[in-house]
Formats: sequence, C-alpha cells, structure tokens
Amino acid sequence: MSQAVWKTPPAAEDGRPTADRAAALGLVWGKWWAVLLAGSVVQLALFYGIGLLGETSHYLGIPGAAAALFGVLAAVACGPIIGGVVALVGGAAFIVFVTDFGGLVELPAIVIAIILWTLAAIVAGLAARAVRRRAAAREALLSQALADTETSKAGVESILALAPAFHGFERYDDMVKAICAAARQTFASRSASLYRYTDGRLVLLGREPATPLLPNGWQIEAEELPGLFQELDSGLPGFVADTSIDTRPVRDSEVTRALGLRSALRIPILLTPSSAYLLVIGWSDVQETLDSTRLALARRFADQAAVALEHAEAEALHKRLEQSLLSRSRDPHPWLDIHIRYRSGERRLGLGGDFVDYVVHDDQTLDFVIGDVSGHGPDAAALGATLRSGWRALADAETPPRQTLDALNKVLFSERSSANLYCTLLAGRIDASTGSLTLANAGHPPPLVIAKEARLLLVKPVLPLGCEHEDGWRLEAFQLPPAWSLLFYTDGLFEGVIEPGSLERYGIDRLAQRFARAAPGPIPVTLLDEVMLELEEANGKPPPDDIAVLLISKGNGAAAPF
Amino acid sequence: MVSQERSPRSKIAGPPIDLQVSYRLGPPLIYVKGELDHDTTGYLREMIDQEFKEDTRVLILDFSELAYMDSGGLSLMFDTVQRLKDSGRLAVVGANPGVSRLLEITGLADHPRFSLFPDQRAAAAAVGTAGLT
Repeated sequence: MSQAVWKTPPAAEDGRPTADRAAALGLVWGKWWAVLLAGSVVQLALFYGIGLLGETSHYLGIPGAAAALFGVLAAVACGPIIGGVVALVGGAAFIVFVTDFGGLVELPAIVIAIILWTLAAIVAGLAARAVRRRAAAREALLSQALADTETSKAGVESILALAPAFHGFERYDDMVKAICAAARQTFASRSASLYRYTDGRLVLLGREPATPLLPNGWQIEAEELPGLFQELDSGLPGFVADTSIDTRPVRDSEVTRALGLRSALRIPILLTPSSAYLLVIGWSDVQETLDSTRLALARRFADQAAVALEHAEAEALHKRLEQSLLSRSRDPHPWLDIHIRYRSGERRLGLGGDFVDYVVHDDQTLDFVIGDVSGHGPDAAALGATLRSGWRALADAETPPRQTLDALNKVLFSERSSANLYCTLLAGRIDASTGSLTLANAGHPPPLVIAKEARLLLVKPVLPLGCEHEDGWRLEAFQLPPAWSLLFYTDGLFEGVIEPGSLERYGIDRLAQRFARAAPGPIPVTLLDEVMLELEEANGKPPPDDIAVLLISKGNGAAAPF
Repeated sequence: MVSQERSPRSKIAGPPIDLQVSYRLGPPLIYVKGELDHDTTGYLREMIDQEFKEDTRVLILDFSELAYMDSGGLSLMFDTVQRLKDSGRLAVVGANPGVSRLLEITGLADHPRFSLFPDQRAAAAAVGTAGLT
C-alpha cells in the first residue's frame, strides 16, 4: 500500500534496458578500433604473403575479394563508416601490392574495383544497422509489454489488498477520504476527488489532498462536462489527456488550471440506476493516453469503491429508518424514569418494524406506545415509522385512546403495501395525579410489572391493527402500587434460544422469572441492560429479530403525589 | 388419503418446516412440522393460498409437531382468520404450551372464527356440527 501501483514503465524512462538487451544479442560490437586494426593488419599480411608466392598476377583476385569481404564484415559489425574505412585500407594495400609486384593492371580498373567494394561495405553496414534497429524496437516493445503486465498485475493485487481499507469506518467522510487516498496512490496522481451524482449535478464528497478551491459540497452541472453522460450511462471511464485544450466552460478550466492539473481520468461508479458516483483522478503532467493497464485498474477500482459505497448507503438508510422508529422525545418526567432500548436483529439490514415512543403532557400525564409491524425490510420499517409519527401527532393533540387506535388502524389500512402486514401494539397512559395506568392491547405481548414481585400484566388483547375490529377497542385500567417498574417490549426480546445450538426458546415465562429475581421494583436500567446482554449471550449471536424495549419506573417517590 | 409433501429444506437455512395436506376429515387439514417463523411462514402461506377456495369455510392446522411460532407465523394466523367468511372457522389442533400461550396473549384464541382443539377428534366433532353445513 505504500507504493504507487501505476507508474511509467521503466523502458520509457531511459533507453538503457533496450540497449542492454540488444548488446546481449551481440548486434553491436563497441570495439570498432579493434575491428579496424585487425582488418587492416590481416589484409596487409595477406598481400605480403601472396607476394611471397611469386607470380602475383595469377592471384590478383584473392586480395581484392579479401578487401571486399573484410569491408562488409566490419560494416556489419561496426557500421558503414568503419566498414568503408576497412575497405579503403584494403584498397590502398591492393595498390601497393599491384605496384610492387607487377603493374599489370590499369589504374582506372583499380579505382573502380576499390570504389565498388567500398560501396558494398557501406551498403552492407546500412542494411545491418536497419536490421539491428528493427530488432531493437521489437525488443523494446517486448520489454514494455512485460513491464506493463507486471505493473497491471501488481495493480490488481494492490487493489485487492486495498479493498478492506474502505470498510469499517464509523463515519461516511472517513470512508470517502480513504477511497480518495487509495485512488491517488493507486494511480500515482496528484489528486483524487469523489463526487455523488444527483439530479444532473455532481456534488463533491471529498478530495485528496483537500483544497480550499474545491470545498466539500462544491457542485458542478453534469452537462458542463462533455461526455460525462455517456460515461455515466456506460460505466466506462473517460479520459481527458490535456485539460488545457479541453472545451470546458471557463469557470471549470480556471479551477483546473489553478489546481495545476493537466490530465484527468473520470471513473464512474454505478450502484443503481438512481445512485451514481464519479471518481476524478488528476495528474499535473500530460498523460499521453489511457493505456489498457490503467483502464483495467480504473474499472477494478470502481468495483471495489462501489462495494464500499453501497454498503455505506445501506448503513445510512438503515440508520435513518432506525431513528424514525424510535422516539425522538427525551422529555424528562419529574417522577418517572423512562428508558428506551433498541437492538437490531440478526438480519441487520433487514430492519424490522418495531417502534416505540412517549409523550409527557403539561399536567405530567404520560402517554406511551410500543408496536411491532409484522415482517421485515423497508416496508415494515417504513410502516412502523409512519405509525409512530402518527401516534405522536395524536398524543400531542391529546386525542382519546379509542380514537387514537381507530386513526392508527386507518393509517395502517391505507399505508400498508401488502394486505398481510399487521401491527401489534400496546398503548397506554399513566395519570400522574392518581397513579392509575390505562392500557389498550392489540395483539401485543403483555407488559411485565415489577413491584413487590414481578408478574405479567395480562391485558386482554384485541386483534392487531390491520384486522377488522367489529367489537371495537378494549381499555383496561390498573392502580399502580407505591413502587414499581413497567417493562414493555416486542417479542424479539424473548425469541432467542436458551443456549447456543439449542432449539428451545427463552419464552415470555422465563423472562418473567428472570425479572422476578430482581424484585422488588423499581429496577435500575442497568439491570435491563444486564438481562439483555444475558439473553444475547444465551442465544450465542445477535437476536433473530429486532428488539424494542420501554422501561418506565417510578423515580424519587417522595416528590410523587401518588 | 390424498396427500402431498413439500420439504423446502434446500431453500432455507435453519430449522426446516414440513407441510403435508390431507382431506381425511373433509376440509383441508395441514400438518405443520418444525418451526413457523419469519423465514418459513411463506411456505405455509403458499399452501393455505393453494387450499383456499371460494367456498372454503373451515381450515384445520395440525400443530402437534410444531415446535415454535413467532410473530411471523402469528400474522399468517390473523390473515387466515380475516379471510374466512362469517361462519368460517380456523381450527388449530394440538398446539404445544408455548404456541398456545402466544395465541392466547395476542387475543387470537378469543377470536370467534378461531378455535384451539387438543386433538383431531375434538376438531372433527366441532367441524362436523359447525363446519360442513
């Protein structure tokens, strides 16, 4: 992770590897002077040796052929100039030879012969050089291809290693920062910026390195960037080799210039048709082309980033939904301690529809509700959130209980996406002046009251919301003892198994027994936390279903009027 | 005895559910074996849909081998009770104490179109007088 994954291939940095490989193949012999010396000495010796044979005129062909041969050999080995010189030396020796031993050959014939074999040497030298250059070029291509393969392999491996670094961030911004930093490193670029595409515009989520010129949240219309729509449609990266000759709007190119960027690579990251991101890689020098290595790297990178972004989007949605299921009210009550607990179930992203809320009225009357929409997933969660906010509006307006239940039932009938969504619900009111509790139960597990002892407060239920209620709603009133806690919960609380691997469920009666050990009430909220932890440990894993718990305890007894 | 068996073991993780239907008593009698939770309720729902005809007045569920039911299964019970006409009846046979408890605390056991029976003979007797008329 510490080194740039993509960098200019070594062969393009200087010519050395190419020359090394060519020399290794014996195509260039650097010691030209040795060739020159050896060629000249051998020829002179040859002529002298032939002279010793007597009758030199019979052997005239031998020195001529030797001069031509040595010229060509020298030319092939060391180039046309050295070859030509060797041939000329041979020619000079030939003149001396002819003059000394015979003088039978006319001068024009000698000159023509020397010119011919010199030319032969030069032509051979040029041809050899051409062949050598072609071979060298092929070698260079080969070594570049090898280097590219290595680079892209290293790149992909490095991206695989990078992937986990995008996960496990508490904050969304940290993940964006990590993606940008990794992109910058991976592409050896000057900068990397991540944009979210929404409603025809790009919104900057983060940039590495950060710059005041482009603060997070900076926006640009997508249509101002030529070719961007095709990129977002096709998912293929777009490359701008030189931004200074790009036909961009003035504002953007000014920014680009101020940032010192020349080349840019735009990598679209597509999650769903309605959710797209754009990663922009910027280089301060002009990058010639977008080679296949970088293209492959860009697409791999986009895949990895997409996984991380998708995960983050789901998490964010989950959090938003979860928040809308829980009370935002933290109103304190002068004599009552009120605590809410919420646990996501095993299917963390398949959020359930448990909801809970309470309202403290001016006269210290407390209204509260806990409910559970059947099923899981966004439909159940959205319905739960709707019912909770509906209940809150009705409670704020101090609507009588039966009307509240009627209204919620209507909301459920009109809002549910499928006919088999139901909602069990316990709604109640504690009258602070008299200490009386009124409860309505629509198919919900009964609450636990923890006073001198702990027991289930069996409230005769009617069918859940979403069923026909021919007989209307049933309200039951109880007088609360001097010291007590009331525990309301959804069935997720007691649905875990009694020990890991067992098929036996904890069940509502074991739950009552567990809290009986804590009697007399009121119990502190730490005890509730302790029990919830125990149940989770017994289950051996997170609870199978979501859990919502509402604990109401009588607080400082001295101040309470009841 | 007409019977068909479904064992969707391959489709789900965790404890499976076995469903079997018989017409021995007249109206559809579905044996439910295993656990009825959010994951497995869909299979029973499918089977009830299949058995539910225009003139269906009575449906019997044999729960004597049902280990556990959660709110997912419960919502199917509510659903089925709602679908039955005024004189219709959903009869549950042999529910274990845990399942009976759930049916009681959620008010379903008190519903006029819902009945709990200890065994098939009791159900048959009740169905014979109230069901197939």
